[in-house]
Amino acid sequence: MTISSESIDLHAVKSALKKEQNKILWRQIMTNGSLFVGFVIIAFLILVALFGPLLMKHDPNTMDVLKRFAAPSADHWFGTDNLGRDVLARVIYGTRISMGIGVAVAIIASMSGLIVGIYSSYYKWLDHLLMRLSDGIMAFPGLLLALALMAALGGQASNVVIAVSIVATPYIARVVRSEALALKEQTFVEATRALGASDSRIIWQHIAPNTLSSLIVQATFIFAEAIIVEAALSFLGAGIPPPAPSWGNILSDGKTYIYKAWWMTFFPGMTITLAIIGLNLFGDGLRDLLDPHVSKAKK
Amino acid sequence: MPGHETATHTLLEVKGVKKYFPVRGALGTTVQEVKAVNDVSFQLKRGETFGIVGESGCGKSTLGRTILRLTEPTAGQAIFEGTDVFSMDPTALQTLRQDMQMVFQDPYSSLNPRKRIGAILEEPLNIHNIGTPRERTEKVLKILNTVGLQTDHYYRYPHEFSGGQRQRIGIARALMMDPKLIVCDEPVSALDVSIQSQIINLLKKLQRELRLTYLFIAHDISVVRYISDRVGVMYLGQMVEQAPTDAMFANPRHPYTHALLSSVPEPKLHAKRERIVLRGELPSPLNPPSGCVFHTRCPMAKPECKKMVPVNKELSAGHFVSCHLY
Amino acid sequence: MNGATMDNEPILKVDKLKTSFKTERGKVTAVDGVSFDLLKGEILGIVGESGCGKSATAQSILRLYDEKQAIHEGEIWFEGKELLSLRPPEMDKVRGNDISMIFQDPLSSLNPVFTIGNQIAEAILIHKSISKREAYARVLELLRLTGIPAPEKRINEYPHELSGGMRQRVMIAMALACESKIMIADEPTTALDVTIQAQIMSMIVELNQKLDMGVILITHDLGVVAEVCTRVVVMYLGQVVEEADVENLFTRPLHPYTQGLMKSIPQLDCDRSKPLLVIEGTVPSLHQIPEGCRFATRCPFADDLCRSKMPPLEQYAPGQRARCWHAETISKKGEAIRAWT
Repeated sequence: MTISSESIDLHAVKSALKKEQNKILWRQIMTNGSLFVGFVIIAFLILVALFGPLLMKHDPNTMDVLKRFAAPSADHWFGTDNLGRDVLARVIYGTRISMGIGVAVAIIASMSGLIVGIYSSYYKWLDHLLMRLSDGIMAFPGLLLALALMAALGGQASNVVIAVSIVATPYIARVVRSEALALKEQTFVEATRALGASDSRIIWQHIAPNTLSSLIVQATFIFAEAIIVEAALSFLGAGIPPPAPSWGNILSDGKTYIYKAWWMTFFPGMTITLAIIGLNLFGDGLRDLLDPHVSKAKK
Repeated sequence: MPGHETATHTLLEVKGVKKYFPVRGALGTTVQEVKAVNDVSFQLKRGETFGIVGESGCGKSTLGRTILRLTEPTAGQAIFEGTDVFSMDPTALQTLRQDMQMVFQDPYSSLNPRKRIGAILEEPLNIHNIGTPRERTEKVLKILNTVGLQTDHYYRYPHEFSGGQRQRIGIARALMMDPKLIVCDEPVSALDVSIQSQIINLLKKLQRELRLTYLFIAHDISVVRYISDRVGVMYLGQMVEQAPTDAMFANPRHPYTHALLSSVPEPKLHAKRERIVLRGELPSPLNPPSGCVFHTRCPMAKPECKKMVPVNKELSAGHFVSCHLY
Repeated sequence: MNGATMDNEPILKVDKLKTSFKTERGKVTAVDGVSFDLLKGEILGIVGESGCGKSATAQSILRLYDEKQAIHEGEIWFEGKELLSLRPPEMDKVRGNDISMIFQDPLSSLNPVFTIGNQIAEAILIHKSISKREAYARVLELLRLTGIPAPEKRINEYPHELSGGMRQRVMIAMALACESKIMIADEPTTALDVTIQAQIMSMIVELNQKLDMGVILITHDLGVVAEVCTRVVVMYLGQVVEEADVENLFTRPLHPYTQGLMKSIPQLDCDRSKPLLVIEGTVPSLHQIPEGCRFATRCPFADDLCRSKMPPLEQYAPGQRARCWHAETISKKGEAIRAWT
């Protein structure tokens, strides 16, 4: 057989196989209720974050003093707040801020957690060092630590991201580390060493990819946590400085007027709840999707 | 015997290999040692199959891994084509890996579940920078064929294959760099009986065609007898007897070998031989018995067996025994 | 013959047992119309490879499967009772008491946080209302019966303190706790070394003879079968493909699968220069059971009839049945030897 006909054969085989594998994957995704619903919710929120502001009638910061504490109406779907600002506009802009922070924290914590977790699992001396550090961080209640960090760093959106990422990293590191420890004992790791592979090759090409399924699931939960922590920080006045309409800030504004203007707390609260539910459902669905795929390996 | 020119050239000489695993105490100091491999020596000639049998805890798997330096040896030498594997520097060792490969026991965990077969098989070539990408793919396809798999298996994932097929992939991986020596660590134990013969035949065929040398480690005595030219019996980290296969089975000298062979249930009627039942239990490798390691359970034990370690004697051509009876 | 007694009435009668499971890929029938009898005092071997349904059969007899997951059809008769239709509390009285079971991996079958004395005593106290002291006395007796040395000391040890062979003896002691009439042993020695295997198997034979206890031995090891069993049932992909007493099975196996199995195992005195017999192909998946005879995809004697119609289990010799259209011709004309080599 000549070289060229071999490669032609292979290409056809490859696309046929890829189609087959994609079909199976698609079916698995479609039958997964939580995944689907979670995805829809998150997709919706992301779209709102991206395009919402463009469709907005009102500006989130414009104060219409005459229309303060207006109940929800056709003009102001979510009513107005104590300064006459449109709550809907604020919530939508807030989506951008809060979801943005959530994503940033999820990504940063994932990357640092992955590195910490993987190297801890592979080198014993590093393990002792890094795990004691993580234990130290985890000993503090997350919110308190974030508060302390914000006090030290100063109130800015970027610092919120840094603070919450620091708080979240140890959790991801733990998950990755325990997966990696189990993987290290698998025969294929030893087999790859027998082939002459270097440590870094084994770590990054063999162990790390196999931890991804757990990592991604954890990351969605960290995303949710980040939103809550940001909201709590801002609620307490230690997060993003007002008048930025982060969900926490809107809640904070509304807390004094709960009886007078329930819509000031209700709508941002519902949005936060929706985001968390969506993320949790997505994470659960993702975990179900990814686990049986890998454990299908057994007879 | 498989037809090949007389294989007189010694490919691997294992001398006094020891592998102890430290058991750490509370402060991290070594409190005890598990003497997994305790002074093992043998020779392996080019083109032959040396089988190693023994029961759990005898150290045969550890021996295989130590020879390949997958775990660092405690003492001894493993001289492969004139160079001691144990004293090689990392770079030289890396190159040597191309010549010494391993086939593992568990077909279910020996392949990375997230990689396609093609990628798994090309990896050794990538690691050692052998050939162009196209040549690597070519070689993978060729070897897939050699082990009885098909071209379209190249793009599949391990979980799509049966145990026997995965074992073929494991064998294919070991063959990718044209090794001279392959250590087979229980290659068929995890497979169904009707598949075992397929893999055993494949291994034999490959040995003939590619002039391979095998170190075949297994607990299934009938399989070891079938595939090996020479057999070594291990007990508690030591090789108590080694001999050419026919000699070993026709005339086992060491009491443990006797007991071991007499325990094998044979799939034929009225095969009841005199079964030698060993008394007592397997001692812990943390604290192996003094003198001859087998004396605590040996039906022929004499007072000296407890005090002195037996010397390894050659009783007839190539037939070595460590026992005070001789 | 091992342990057969005068009266040949079956103490257990499995009649067209079918066990199916609902999986995400559809309904899977792990046991498909299996029938066999266990005669008084005999050791019946059930042989087969993975996926053949031998373990599933054993677990079905004791109804160990979650009834929401598994659907049983057929009948199992024991002492005048039909086991599959008993109400759960009644079945509980049978399990461990009249019929007991030992499993392959003794380490995971024993609870790591209780002493073995405790666990064996529990097996007794569930079914018999005797005092704790009496129960513990019986535990000591059982430990002695199963050859565990220094039972007074062992009774307070935990499973991880014992070796594999010892743990299996403990499992057997638990199975004997209530003087069961039948013991089902599911691959009891697969995880053990061959020297320990020999001890455990000879103990099972001894118990079978001493206590007149019927044994169903599930294994994939034909060597164990040859040494210990009275009669054998060979299973493949959920069905019985051959049933015979041990003499006939080894001198004149009728079904090509049985023949293939026997010839593909290297024996201690086989010719080392000849390649081993190979049964080509692999066992089909239970999700994709072929039409006709299930072994046809791998059988060298298969023809169109085999591939289109399922052969019934027919009697071709006294006490020997096989599920093969060509069983008679294959064995008579010695075609077996020609086609297989």
